[in-house]
Amino acid sequence: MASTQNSETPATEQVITEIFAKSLHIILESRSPYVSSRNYSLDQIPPSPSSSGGSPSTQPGGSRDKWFNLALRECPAALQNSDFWRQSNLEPLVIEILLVDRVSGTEKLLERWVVQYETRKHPGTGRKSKRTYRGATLLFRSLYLLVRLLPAYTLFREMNSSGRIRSLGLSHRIQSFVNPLTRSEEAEMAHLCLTPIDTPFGRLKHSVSYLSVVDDISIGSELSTPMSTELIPDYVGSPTTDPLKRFQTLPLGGSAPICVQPGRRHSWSTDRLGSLNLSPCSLPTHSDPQRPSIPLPLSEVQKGKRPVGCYPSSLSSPQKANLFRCESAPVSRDSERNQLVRFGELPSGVSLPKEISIGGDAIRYLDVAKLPLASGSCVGGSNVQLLDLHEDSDANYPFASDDNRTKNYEGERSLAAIVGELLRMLETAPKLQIGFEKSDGPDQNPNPAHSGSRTAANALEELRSYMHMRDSILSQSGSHSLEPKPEKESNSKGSNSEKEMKERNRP
Amino acid sequence: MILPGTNKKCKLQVNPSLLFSSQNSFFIAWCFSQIKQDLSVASLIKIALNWLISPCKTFDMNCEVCELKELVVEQFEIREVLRCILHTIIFHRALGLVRPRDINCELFELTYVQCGVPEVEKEIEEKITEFISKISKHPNRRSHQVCLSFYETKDKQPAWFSSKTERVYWERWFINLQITNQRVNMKPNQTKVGFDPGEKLSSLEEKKLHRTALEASIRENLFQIIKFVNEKMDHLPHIPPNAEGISYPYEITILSSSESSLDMLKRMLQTGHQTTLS
Repeated sequence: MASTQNSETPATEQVITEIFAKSLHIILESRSPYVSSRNYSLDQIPPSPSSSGGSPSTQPGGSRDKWFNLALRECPAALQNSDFWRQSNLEPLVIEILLVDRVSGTEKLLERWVVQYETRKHPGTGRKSKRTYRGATLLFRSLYLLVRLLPAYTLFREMNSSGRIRSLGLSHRIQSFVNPLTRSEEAEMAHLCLTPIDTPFGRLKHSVSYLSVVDDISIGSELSTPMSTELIPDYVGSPTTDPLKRFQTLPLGGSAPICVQPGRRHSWSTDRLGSLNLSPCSLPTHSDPQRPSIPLPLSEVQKGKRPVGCYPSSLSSPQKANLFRCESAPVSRDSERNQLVRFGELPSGVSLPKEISIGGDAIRYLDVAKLPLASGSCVGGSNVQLLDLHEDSDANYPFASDDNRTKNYEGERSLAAIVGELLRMLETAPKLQIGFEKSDGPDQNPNPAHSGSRTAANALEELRSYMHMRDSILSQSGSHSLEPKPEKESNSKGSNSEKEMKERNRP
Repeated sequence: MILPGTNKKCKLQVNPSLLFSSQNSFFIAWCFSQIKQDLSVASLIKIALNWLISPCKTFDMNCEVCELKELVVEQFEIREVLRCILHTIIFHRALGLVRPRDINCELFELTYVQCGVPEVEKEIEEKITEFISKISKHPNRRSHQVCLSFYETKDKQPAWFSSKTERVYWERWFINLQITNQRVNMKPNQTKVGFDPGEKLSSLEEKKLHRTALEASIRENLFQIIKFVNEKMDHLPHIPPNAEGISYPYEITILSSSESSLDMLKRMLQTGHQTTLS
């Protein structure tokens, strides 16, 4: 047992030792993230045999928990360091709580707790050891509350509440000497002293220097892994990384090619939208004057938290297709029609999305979910995260087939081959001109004089070929039961689309 | 003599009314005599009230009193605020073996500590409910006070007009609340549809300011409790050995400042018997 150099009685010495231990326990329990909480049953604490109430039992593993009538759960951090200061009770116990930046390795001192035993100048005027124990009991009630009132506890709670790995962390350092604070630290730190516990020949002092303002550390922005929305040109499955999937980038706006890759599940599929290209839509930060602003990373978004001003995606919906889009870029039917892009001739047996619109502040993809290709494949696997453009009832998508999406992973390889062939055809196919213009515009009739323009009839023929391709794919995939429905749907929608195109071309 | 509830010494001028046998009369007579001293009437009345709210007529010569700083709260915040402060005080005075429970406030960024005794929690909830129902009956009153007192029971010589045991209060805590209703500023015929967005924003800002200020005040109260508990320990009675949980009996009483203190004292004198202010 650690001893003082004066004539404290053994009982008092033990009390002093336990005061140090309990102080360490209380402080580290509320400052060491992830190691403080543990399912510890306190219901079976045996009655303490001694008369001073709450003194330790002889049972192993529970000997310190009930000291000073404050039953605490185990704290591994405290147990690891409990023998550190047992050299002598005359040495101070200094516990420094640090905010550590794991990326840069820098540390910032948040708190410094000092527990120090001082011998009394005039011995004999001190208290009896029973009074010492009672004084310690009272002090630890206050200490237990005090550690929860200081600003560092907020950080501790935040770190404990989320299981994410953060760039900032709480750490502690235990010393037996007091480093003088720098001037800047001295200036920004507040100081508190608890009433000393009197012993017969000395007294124990508890004091803390703490950073009174923690908000300016920008907890929210730094605690999480910084992830701002940015273009990822070499994402898995992109044409740059996978030559098989190379296809012509679309001429209008945007720089994000569509990845159509059936039969392969990517790490950025259904569950994690993190690497999905969302730019140039930047998510607005959610600011709160009370708490630091949190630039919401995609990882936050994918967990269902909603950034202000952005619509969240239904990440797991296999049927719907929603994508983040910013308020600044409202979707309108007219803008979609202005930017329609058609593909060239395709061989039979392959179908393509009808509309792809890119522009404004949002990258919008067609609901590939409605493609037969999308069954078991495509961007995000079976759950494609695309903007839902089908809110209007008059949306006509001849290839739309919700039934096929999530079903039928058979014949993926054949599908992949077909899609690859389709893409090669697209590369070699002649370009389409933007055929659909504003409804109020005068130029409704496609002019044959325009270079590369096509008539509605040509478009209709292409459409029919797409339908054939789709049917062939369907037949190959073997979804016999579904064929009648999609055929019916496609037929009806095909006819609707034909009517629509005729209407559009009328003057 | 040392005035009850304070550490102030003062001279006692003997008044013929001191010949009254009942302790009530003695005290009240003493009070009137002390008006000549440098004590203000308000402090005297306060001392009298401190004494009179106890069910037993006892001088609390060594009663420590802590007046916590007033908190401006809205109706829906009362429960959370009172829970926080009452539990904190009791945690500091439950010197038997306790298993502390950390409670994170729902309305504020605060964590307070409960002593983990279910009976205490139940009693506090009941008292808070009683408090809320009382203040709702008197919406015009703004200032309210909750008093948490710790006492010892002592046996005394039984007399025909008094009980066998008496309570000796050794510590009193006064929690001061001012109930505010922020919607007082709004026009009565305003509906949600007709809100001016600018006005709605300002009311939201006001709410935020109020919440922040209240949180800071609660923290201040808690620091005040810690300071008081650490400074004054000598008056604590002896803790029985092997005590578990609550080591000292306590009671929670509800006060309100609807009538002036003098009116209340007058009423008590006229009725001639002890009435609790709650």
